[in-house]
Amino acid sequence: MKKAAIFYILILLSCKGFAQTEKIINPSDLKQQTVITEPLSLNKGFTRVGLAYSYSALDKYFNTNGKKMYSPESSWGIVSGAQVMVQYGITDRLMAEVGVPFKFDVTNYHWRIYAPGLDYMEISDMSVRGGGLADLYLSGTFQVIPSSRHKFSLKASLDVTIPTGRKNPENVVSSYDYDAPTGYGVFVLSPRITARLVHYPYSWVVYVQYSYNFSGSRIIYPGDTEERDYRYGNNIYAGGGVNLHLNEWIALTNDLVYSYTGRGEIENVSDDNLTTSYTFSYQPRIVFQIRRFRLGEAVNIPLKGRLTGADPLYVLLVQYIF
Amino acid sequence: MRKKVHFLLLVMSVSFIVPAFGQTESKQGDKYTLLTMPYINRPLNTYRGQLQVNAGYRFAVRSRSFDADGKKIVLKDDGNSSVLHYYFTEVKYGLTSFMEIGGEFYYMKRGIRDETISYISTDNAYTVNNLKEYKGPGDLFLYTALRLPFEYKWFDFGISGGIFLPTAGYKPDQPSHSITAESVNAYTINYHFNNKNGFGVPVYMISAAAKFTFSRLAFEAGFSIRDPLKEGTNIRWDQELTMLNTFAYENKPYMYLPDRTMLANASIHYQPVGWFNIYLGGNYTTMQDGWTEYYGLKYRNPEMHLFSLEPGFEIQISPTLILYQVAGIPLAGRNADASINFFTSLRFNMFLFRK
Amino acid sequence: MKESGSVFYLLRHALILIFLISITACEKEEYDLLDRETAGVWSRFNTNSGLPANQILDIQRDASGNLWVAFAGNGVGMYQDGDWSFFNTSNSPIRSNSVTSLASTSDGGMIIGTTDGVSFRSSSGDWSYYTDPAVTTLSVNSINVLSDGTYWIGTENEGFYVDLGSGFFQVYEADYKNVNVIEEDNKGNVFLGTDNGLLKFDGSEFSLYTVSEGLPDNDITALFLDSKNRLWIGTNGGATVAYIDPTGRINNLSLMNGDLGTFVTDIFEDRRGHIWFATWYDGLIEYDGVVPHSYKIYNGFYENDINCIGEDKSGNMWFGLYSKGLLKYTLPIE
Repeated sequence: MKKAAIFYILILLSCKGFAQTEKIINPSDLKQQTVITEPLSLNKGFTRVGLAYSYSALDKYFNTNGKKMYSPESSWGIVSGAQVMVQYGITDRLMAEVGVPFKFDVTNYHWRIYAPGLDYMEISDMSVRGGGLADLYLSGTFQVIPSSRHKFSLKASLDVTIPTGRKNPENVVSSYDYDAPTGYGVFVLSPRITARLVHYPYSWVVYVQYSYNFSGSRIIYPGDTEERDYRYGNNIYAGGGVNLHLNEWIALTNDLVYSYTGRGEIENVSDDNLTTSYTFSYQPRIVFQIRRFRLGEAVNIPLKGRLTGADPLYVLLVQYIF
Repeated sequence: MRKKVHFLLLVMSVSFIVPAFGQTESKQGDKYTLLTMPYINRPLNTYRGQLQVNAGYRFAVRSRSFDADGKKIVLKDDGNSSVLHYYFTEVKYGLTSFMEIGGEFYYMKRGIRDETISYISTDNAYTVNNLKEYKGPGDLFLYTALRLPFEYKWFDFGISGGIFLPTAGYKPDQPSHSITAESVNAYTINYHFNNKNGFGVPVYMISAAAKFTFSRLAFEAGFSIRDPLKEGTNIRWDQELTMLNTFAYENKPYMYLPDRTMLANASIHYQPVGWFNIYLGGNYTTMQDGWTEYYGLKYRNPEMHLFSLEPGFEIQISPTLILYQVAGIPLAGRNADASINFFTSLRFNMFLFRK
Repeated sequence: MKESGSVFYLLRHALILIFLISITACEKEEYDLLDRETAGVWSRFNTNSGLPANQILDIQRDASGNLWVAFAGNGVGMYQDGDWSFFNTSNSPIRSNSVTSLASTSDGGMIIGTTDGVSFRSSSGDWSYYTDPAVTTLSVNSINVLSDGTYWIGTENEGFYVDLGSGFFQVYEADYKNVNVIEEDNKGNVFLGTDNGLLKFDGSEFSLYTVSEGLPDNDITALFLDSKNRLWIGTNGGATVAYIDPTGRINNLSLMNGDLGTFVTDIFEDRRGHIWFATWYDGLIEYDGVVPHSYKIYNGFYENDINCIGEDKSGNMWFGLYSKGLLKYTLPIE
């Protein structure tokens, strides 16, 4: 979900569209107009609200050797979520944002057991459910080099993730039947730098983010009864892309993204279950601006990785600016 | 079968004879006008000299299916759900204003799981997982399409005929099973069958379509039949666990006949502005009359029926580029996957020789 | 006008192409097809369906494709094209109603072993019999017709008998007087399963396999040569089953039935290459080459005691139960 949250933010901030004025949408008319690129943060007093929905299946994963494998058991999982975000332009260069995410994850397990020597047979259907409020985030963005005056612009952001989601497994029946945590359980601090160069009809963007996870305590495994101290590995998320303005109201973006998560610790000891992982992904997006509405479709396609999911993540986004 | 083909030929012949009122010999406008022609005013085929390249992707989640009685089964409860990735390319060229040629090609991959079963005894224990993967290109489809030799005003009718050439691999590769020792005398066996997507035999397809335009609306209906030209021979793999805990494989041939497929579709399109078209369609597919040999006996393939609703839209992004998206929502069926699917394609159009 | 002329030219050729395709499309053979619902189906026949007994002792298919079934104390039945014909002492010259074993000959005849000698029925319905006047009772345990046409008969307490074409002669050895089962391998060696080990006759001399050589038990109750030329060996009380592979090595396979010992009554291979084991107390066990699958009362099967296994000409499996009749199983498909 954290990855999805980052993903949503990047959709919002890297796509190109109009300045926040009403326009008549007509491709042939728009072609006559001078391109006005959207600033990297909202103008003062503007408010944008958005809703994003993400979906991914748990069909394949990258194993420890980086090979793409199918999940072999008869299990079926989906990772899905929705996020409401609100952005507000405090000044022309400073913007605040809050995001409220919800998770709707579920993994179903099914198997049959035969023990003919004991005349015993069992059919098991279990599920791990991760539904509910996830971790809230607050974000502040400042345009270091404002985009309204320069073709090259730079912004710095700081995200704070607040552990509002459920951190411990609940309703534990077995290791395959419980309500999974919906949140990280700790505060996360994520500073980010984004640079953009516009040269119509193209623009280039690069960004890098570092997420620092604070320590906390939680029930690590469903069978545990007591909380244990832990710290997830920190994450580096870097990428860049080339964006193409198909016309004044549709943009097609293409990003290549690298994400690396370091080793985590449980009770100050490196744990094999929190080992390092990485993903190298391709993220195409298409964004439509219809009047004050913005509609976006994006997909995150993992190309390479280790100990991460290998299924595409699909995102639908709708925003409105007041 | 012969009767159906001849009926189609008869309908086609009649449609050429009946004058389409208000429509004249085809004229071609300038390139820009033709490329940006709204959907409701476009003929069924490409224009003379027009090259169209489509590239698309379909994603489908197979979490439900219809059984033989039409009842919906939730596959995820048995852990049998799967996803399908389908990549599609099509190239069309308008030879004349009423005749086009084209070719289609696709690549598809999916992995279908079976129930996990554990066998436990006092001496040992095995957990068996079963995955059937279907991966690879489909057969190349080449076709010719004809339409009425009139400029499209409000009515069009077209027929097409083509053939799927057995260019793609269809015989499954040797399985890639594995066995892992979880502890002393406890093993996990992962069956992984590597299947392909080709028909293995030539398959012909003929279709007919009609289109009507009225104000900002267009109605389109079509019908097609796809039928194999002959039976084929494929192989089936068997596996055995050796005393060294490795897998030994053996394949045995079997005969089969792919199903005959019939598709019928109808759609209504609304064009609010010239560059945006939204539509709602219905699609009915049935597959039958195929068979597969098992151990010397020929078994009829289950008859498949599926009715889906397909809302979609088309956006003219630029004179040469059109974005097309449609969702497939299965409503009823028998012996069919009830997969919700999403198809996105980009259509690139150009005139090769027109200035 | 130029375009109109080319219009009709192209139209004509396109029509011809479509017409040709339509004609060639119909050139496929017609077959009798089975419905998939008929695959993987168990059907049971018992006295309620007209069988003379519910205890089945042997099942064999003759050269004409008819299925022969031995009914305990009630003679034999022949299943031909969906109809039964029953042969017992009241309607045929069969030696005894206590039929214990069956074997088919290459000319369509059947050899019927009983507790009182052997009956022969030719394909034309002629009967004859053999019993040894030198013994009190010739109780037949097993019969095998070898590839060279010779008849081998295993008995209870009287060793075994061989007919090389000029009449039966007895081979008796006290330690091996109970010959339970006889099988031939692909090299012409004859294997005889006895209470005290497995005898092998290579045409000139006998050799012996026992637990010392790796067998699971010395009481050999079932033998079967599969399509991979492995001789499967079932015993009374062995913890595993064994097979002698083409190199002559003895391998053991656990049937995962949890018992310390299994009584294997029969072994058979189906068209898929799966090996079936009929047992007493442990039901039916199907080995698919990787894992054994059990069919017992606990998972919905009919009985835990299975006497024999056979196969009809269509590849359907037939199982003779201890007390619940005769089962037919159509092989499942994917």
